[in-house]
Order: sequence, then C-alpha cells, then structure tokens
Amino acid sequence: MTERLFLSGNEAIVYGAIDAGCRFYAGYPITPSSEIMHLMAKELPRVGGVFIQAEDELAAINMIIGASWAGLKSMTATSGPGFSLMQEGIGYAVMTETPLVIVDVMRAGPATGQATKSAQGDLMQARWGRHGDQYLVVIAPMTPQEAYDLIIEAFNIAEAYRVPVVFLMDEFIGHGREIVVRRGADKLVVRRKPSDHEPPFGSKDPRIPPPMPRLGEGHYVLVTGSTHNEWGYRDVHGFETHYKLVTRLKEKIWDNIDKIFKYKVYGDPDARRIIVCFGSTCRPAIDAAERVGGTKVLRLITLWPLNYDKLAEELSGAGKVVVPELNLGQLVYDVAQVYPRSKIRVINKVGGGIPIYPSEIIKVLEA
Amino acid sequence: MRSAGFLGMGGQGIVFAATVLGETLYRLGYYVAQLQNYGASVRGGAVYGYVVFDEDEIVNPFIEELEVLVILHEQGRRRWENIVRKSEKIIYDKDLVNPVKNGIAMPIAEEADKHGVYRAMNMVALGIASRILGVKGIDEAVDEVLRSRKNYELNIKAYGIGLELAERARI
Repeated sequence: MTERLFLSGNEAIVYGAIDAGCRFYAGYPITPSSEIMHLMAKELPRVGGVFIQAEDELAAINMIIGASWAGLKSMTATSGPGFSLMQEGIGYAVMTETPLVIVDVMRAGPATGQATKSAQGDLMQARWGRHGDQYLVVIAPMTPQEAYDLIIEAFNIAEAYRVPVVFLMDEFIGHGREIVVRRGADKLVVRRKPSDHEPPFGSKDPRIPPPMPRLGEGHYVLVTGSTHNEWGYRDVHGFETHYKLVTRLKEKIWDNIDKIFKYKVYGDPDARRIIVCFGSTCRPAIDAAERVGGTKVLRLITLWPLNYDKLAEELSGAGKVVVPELNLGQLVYDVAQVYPRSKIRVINKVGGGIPIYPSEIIKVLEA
Repeated sequence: MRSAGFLGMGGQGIVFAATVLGETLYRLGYYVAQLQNYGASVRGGAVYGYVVFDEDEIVNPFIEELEVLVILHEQGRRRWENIVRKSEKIIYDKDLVNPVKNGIAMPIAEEADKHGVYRAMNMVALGIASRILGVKGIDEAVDEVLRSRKNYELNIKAYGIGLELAERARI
C-alpha cells in the first residue's frame, strides 16, 4: 500500500527504517536529528520494536551494536557532536562486522557550532572518523523522498555486507518537509546465518561477507574489537591474522564497489561544463543547469566507497568543473584526484544555514 | 513554481505559519516543499519560514525570489535582506518593521491586538498570504489544518482578520 504523506526528511527516515525492518533504536536527542528519535519512540513499539533513550551517544551506539548481534535491524540518529562521540563504537562495529545504520543530520560545526543550521561539513568524518584502517559505507539523500527510499537501501547494504552504513543528511532535508510517497521496500536483504562449519569472521572469497550468527541460537560466538581470526579468537600479536582481517574488511567493500556505488546524472549528459555535488546542494545545481543549459550535474549518492574510475570517466573531456558545497571544501578533494585542482571552481558556504542559490552557481558556470 | 514566506522573530510562530501553509497546499494536492531557518532561542532571533509549491515535482526549493513575503519583525527583515530585496510582493507590519522599499505596510500587529489575537499574529500573516496567493479552496483547507491543531478558535479568528486586511488593501 502506498501513502502520499507530507513529511520532513527526519520523519521520512523513521518510516523508511520501519519499512526496511528496523526494530531497534537507541539514541540521544540532539538538534537537528531529534525528530527521528521522537517519532521512533512513538512508531517502533507499534510494530513490536524496541526504543531506548540512551544516557548518551556512547551508550546509544553500543546498544545498537548489541541489538544487531541479537538479530534485530538497528539504527541510531545523531548530529555533529553526537556523531563524534559515536566514532569509537562505529569503529568497533566495522571491526566486528556489525550491520547498523547511523544517521548523521549535519549541522554547522566544529564542536557545538550552530545547532539549527544546515551544513555538509561531516563528509570526511563520516568516511574517516575512526582510527585504524577501516571502511564503511556513506550514503547521502537529496530530498525527504530519498531519505525514505535510501534509508531502506542503507539497511540492505548494512545487512548484505555486514557493515555500518552512515546516512549523511543535511539539516535542510532533515527539517524540510515535502511530499513523500511511502511505497514500501521492493526487496529486503535477509541476514545470512552460518551453518555449523562456517566461520563468522572469514570467507574464502573476500567479496562475500561471512554469515552472521545470532546470539542465543546455539552458535558459539566470540565478538571482539581486537584482532581476531575467522572464528573470533583474539590474536593481538600476529602479523598474518591482522593483515588478513583488515584487508578482507576493506576488500568486502571496495571489491563490491560496482554494486554499492551509486550516482546520478542530471542536465545535459554530454555537456563539458560539469557540476559535482552531493546532498541538498544538488538541487540548486540541477536548477542552475536547467536554467542555463549545456551543463551536466554529477550527483553522488554513495559518498563512500567512491568509485574514482567512474568519476574520472564522467569528468573526462570536461571543460569546466564546479563543486558547490556547504563546507570549506571536502568533496573537492575527490574531484581533484581525477581532474586538475587548478581548473576546478568551488563554491563554498558555511554558517547561518544559508543554502547555495542557483544564481550563485550560474555566476560561476558563466564566468 | 509558486511561493510564499514569512519573516520575523523567534516566538512569533513564523515556522508554524509556514507549516500550516505547507500542509494546506499538500491537502490541496500540490507538490510542496516547506523550509525554515531559525536559531536555538525560544524567543528572539531571526526566523524565516517559506513554502514553494507546484503541480509538478519540485526540482529546487532553495530560491531567493518569493512570490509573497510577509514580514512580522525587523530582526527577520535585517537578517534576510537578500530575500526581501528579490521578492515580488512584500507585506510588512507597519509598527514592527522599518519601511521596506516597494513593500506594503499593514497594521498586522495592531489589528491582531485590537481583536484580542495578538499572539496569533502569525495567522493574520497567513491570512494575508493566502488571499494574495488566491489558490482555489485554500480557506477551507486552512480551516481543516487548523482544526487538527491546538487553539483552533484563536487561530481561525486571526486568519480571518488577515483575509480581511488583504481584501481591504485590495492586494
């Protein structure tokens, strides 16, 4: 059954998560993500799920890790300062291959910054916020409708690859209300459980994530954030165990990049003038491209892993590349890997929650 | 794509006015985007709320030129000068906002006070915006939306005052 609703991105996330099968939420309120928590508190018990207001973000992230091992699809939502507090737990989830969805509704930082103002400053933190060699998936919606659709996708990726997925959303989308069609999930990935002789932390083919046992079902499971072999036994000395583990954790994401990485082209696909963007910033970019013509908009949906080959392919033959961002320049580093930095025009805006307007993009396009 | 917005100060109900307008247009079957910008304070600080709507899906809601803009406080006007400068039809409160070039001054606060609905000044502003937008069925839909919220009697009365103010000014 599809429903046509008028929802904020934050609200859309809740319905999307529930339709994706999320049945456990723990969180600590923080602007501008709090509405996710409010609505989860109301809606999750109605579908037999569990909602917990944790004492802080450290507890919240660890609670959802525990719930995931107990077999429930689990999520938390936070914003800047709370996201920083969760980093240790997220690293643990990467190491223990725990499927999770972490929503970060971006506000202006660093530190407490401007709580109610939109920003896109957490891009690099979402990718690299943890210590050690670690890889996870980062997805960014552009509209409340996509908040609904892509959060379902986020759960599917988390389950398919046994990895935490960071859902990186601008405050504009979180608090902006638009028409959202609640269409339900096309497909839901079901967590694979191991047979008795299948190890829960290893697989012959690194592209295939190992199956995940559920606690309390008779499997003997060791879960540790320390280096472990394929059966979960700690090895904090050996070279080989560590090398094998962390390369596999990387390869299960990067070697599946063709399946994970998504982007979309708007405007004129053959144009030599190209805008590269993510999140809400793409909307004025698409608008600007439509108004002036002769412009392609390359909009990244998956922000990590990033398919640099695809990016290079899309930018080959580009005459002018424009990168608008609501930060002081983060996505531009990716574009600069495949296109000369000196030829990239940037539009950066921070603070006050002021969007980049189409007129500003047009000015740079036509300069 | 059509649009209307409200500028004012924290506590005046600017976001609520935009919310009601957004929900109203949603009920009327439009594609709607409702956005707002506010501070961390419950009272004070510039607040901005607006709605864009269309019969087709909305490509970009981040615009500077609003079709209708009602300004209820100087704080909002000062903070969002770019919007004020570029918007088409601007109505502002004659006592709470300094004169706006090309804008129409109206006794919004004064009338609200006179009728005992001062704290629903935002709904007076909504009435004015509704009348200017002139969307078919908007008054009935606003009524429905307000019925689903608190303080219906107060809000609908204030909304009516806004409609009347706009009619009297023939805008």
